[in-house]
Amino acid sequence: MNGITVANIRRAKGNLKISGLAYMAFGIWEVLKVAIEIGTGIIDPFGFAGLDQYDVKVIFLTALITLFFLSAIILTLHFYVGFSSMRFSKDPTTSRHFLNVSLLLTLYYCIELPFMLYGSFTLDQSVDDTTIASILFELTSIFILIDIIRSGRILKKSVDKEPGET
Amino acid sequence: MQEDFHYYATYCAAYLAGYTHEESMDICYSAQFVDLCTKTLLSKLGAPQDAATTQLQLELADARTDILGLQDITRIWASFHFLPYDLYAQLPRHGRGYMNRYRLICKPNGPLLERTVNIARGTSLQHAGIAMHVLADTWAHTYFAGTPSLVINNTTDDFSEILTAEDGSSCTKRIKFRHNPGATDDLEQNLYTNTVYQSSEKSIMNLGHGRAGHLPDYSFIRYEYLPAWNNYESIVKDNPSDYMKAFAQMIYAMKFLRGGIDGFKPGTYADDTVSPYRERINGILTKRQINACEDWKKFGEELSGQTIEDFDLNKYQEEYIKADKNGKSDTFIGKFIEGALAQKNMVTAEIVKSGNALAGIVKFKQLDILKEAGLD
Amino acid sequence: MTNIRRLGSILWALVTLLIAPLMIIFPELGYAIILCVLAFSLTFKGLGTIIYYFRMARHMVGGKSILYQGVILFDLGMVTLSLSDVPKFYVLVYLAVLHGFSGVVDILRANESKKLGGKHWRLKLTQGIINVLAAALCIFFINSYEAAVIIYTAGLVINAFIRIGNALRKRTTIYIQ
Repeated sequence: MNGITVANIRRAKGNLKISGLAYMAFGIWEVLKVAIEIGTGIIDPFGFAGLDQYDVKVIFLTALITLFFLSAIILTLHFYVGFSSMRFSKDPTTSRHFLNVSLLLTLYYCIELPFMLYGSFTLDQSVDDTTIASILFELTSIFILIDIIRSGRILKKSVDKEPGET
Repeated sequence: MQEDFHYYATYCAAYLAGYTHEESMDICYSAQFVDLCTKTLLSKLGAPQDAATTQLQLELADARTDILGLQDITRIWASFHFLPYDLYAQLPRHGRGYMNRYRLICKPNGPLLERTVNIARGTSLQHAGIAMHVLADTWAHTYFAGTPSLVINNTTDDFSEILTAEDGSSCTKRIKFRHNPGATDDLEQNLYTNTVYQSSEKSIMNLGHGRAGHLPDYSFIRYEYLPAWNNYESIVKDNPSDYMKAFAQMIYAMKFLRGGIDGFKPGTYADDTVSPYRERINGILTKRQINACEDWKKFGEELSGQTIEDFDLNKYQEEYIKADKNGKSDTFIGKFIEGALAQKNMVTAEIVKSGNALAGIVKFKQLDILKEAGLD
Repeated sequence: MTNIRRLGSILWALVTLLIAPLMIIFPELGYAIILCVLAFSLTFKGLGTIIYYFRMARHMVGGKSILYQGVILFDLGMVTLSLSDVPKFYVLVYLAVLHGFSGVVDILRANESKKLGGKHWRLKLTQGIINVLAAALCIFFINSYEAAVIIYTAGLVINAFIRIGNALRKRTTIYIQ
């Protein structure tokens, strides 16, 4: 079977299922975390502090809509990759586009991470416990996506026909 | 394994090895007693609790899962029910913590089995019974470890029974599990009970073959499953074949213990002795039933022409309680206790010698028993 | 449940019963204690789980799930810790949501236990419903801050008693031998 053992296929299926589920869970937690941090004032990306009441109301509405759309995008991507991954583990003949999306997301995280570190170490001067946790979270997200891509490729190879095979 | 094999089948094996009916009864009683000799029972008898050969549900519920508690659990289960196969196994890029647990995986025909049988020679029938219990369990409990460990004893939910049709072809049927304590296994619906998944490494639920339920103890079943430790390679367990080998090996081991053979070699079976009865035994082993006591009992009584008493836990207790301090070691249970201590200390010493701390330490005063037997 | 676990459960319930009135009488102290205990236990549990993955579970079939659980727990612990210097209002919302989530998990577990023929699913279901109701009422009355605090502490107290009851009842557990 293209040199891939049954054990490797089992491993790939298992990884796709677990990593797919994990990626969805990570997406939900990411959105919740941002909502908590903005809601409780831990971070203030929209600059609410120091504004008068009218300004706050307008900006608040803008912020809410922006957050809603951003959350929707994040969740959609996470759920698309997660569900597709789990579906692919059950039936490797289904669509594989999610692997390309996973690759793009991996590249995005890899580019974002240095900027995040730069921001924390230089601009903010605030390397605290949440920064460390965020870095760990990002690294794990990269790990999950790489795992999905790798396992997806193994499974894809196992169902693709070898040259000359009918 | 269950009473059907530990009691009745052991009786049959002992008789075929050349023991008399009475001797066979002593051996098979001891073999079955291993599954019932708990600290609670020993405490009731005023006997040393270190000689416990099992832990029942209530004791496990109360068991500590700190380092000392885990060592106590491992000492009992690894010594009597999950004899480790290779205490010096090597796996590349695996840490010490993992390897300590991996090395406790039970398989038949390991070096410790040879020692188990050897230390029983020249001792009592009770010790022989203990050795037979340990030997039989190495076949049934293969691929599980006698220590609470998620990374070794866990399995996935993918269990399939391998069925053979009359024309010889085989097919698989999915085994379903439930976690209902009160329900008995439903063989027709392929519905069995197992322990709940617990993500804690040292949970009691991860001791032994709990995740496979009672499947290892049913002689009729062939099944395939995915254990946690085997790198996604599945395992096929052929219980009828394994139980037959266990039976033949017990006969061989008991011939050695009787003095009929020089040297016990693992991987050797008394196939000549079994051969006239192979079809009959195979019939018992492959019969689809939860408990084969009746069939084994009938076979045993046909062999010896004598009645095999049903197992009675209380049979020898009064004898032990009434005996004076110096006379206790001459009682049935006294001899059983000596055998149990020797077995437990031998296995614990071997585990400790291999650099594995999971079984704790051997107590110094009990080391004397080993020294006297030339086993230190 | 082992005896040690029972004892731990009862102790935790007693600590909760002590802290609950503190949230009303000395709110700063009460909140600080709850947040710290919650944050540290989540953080250390997460860290421990991650270490366990690298030491052992990475060799196990399906072991990656343990790593992912550890990372989420650790992150949750860190976020909880960072709430120590935000207004109490937000802390209360956060705690209420956590309890609500825990209540939903309890309800799902009770449902599963009922399906599998377990005998004590009703207690778990009750606990779950109480957690969810308390969380919902808390959020509903959040504008009346004092009312929300009373509802939350009442929820804590009821949970503590259920926890004690749970620890003391007989359990049927399967140990396959």
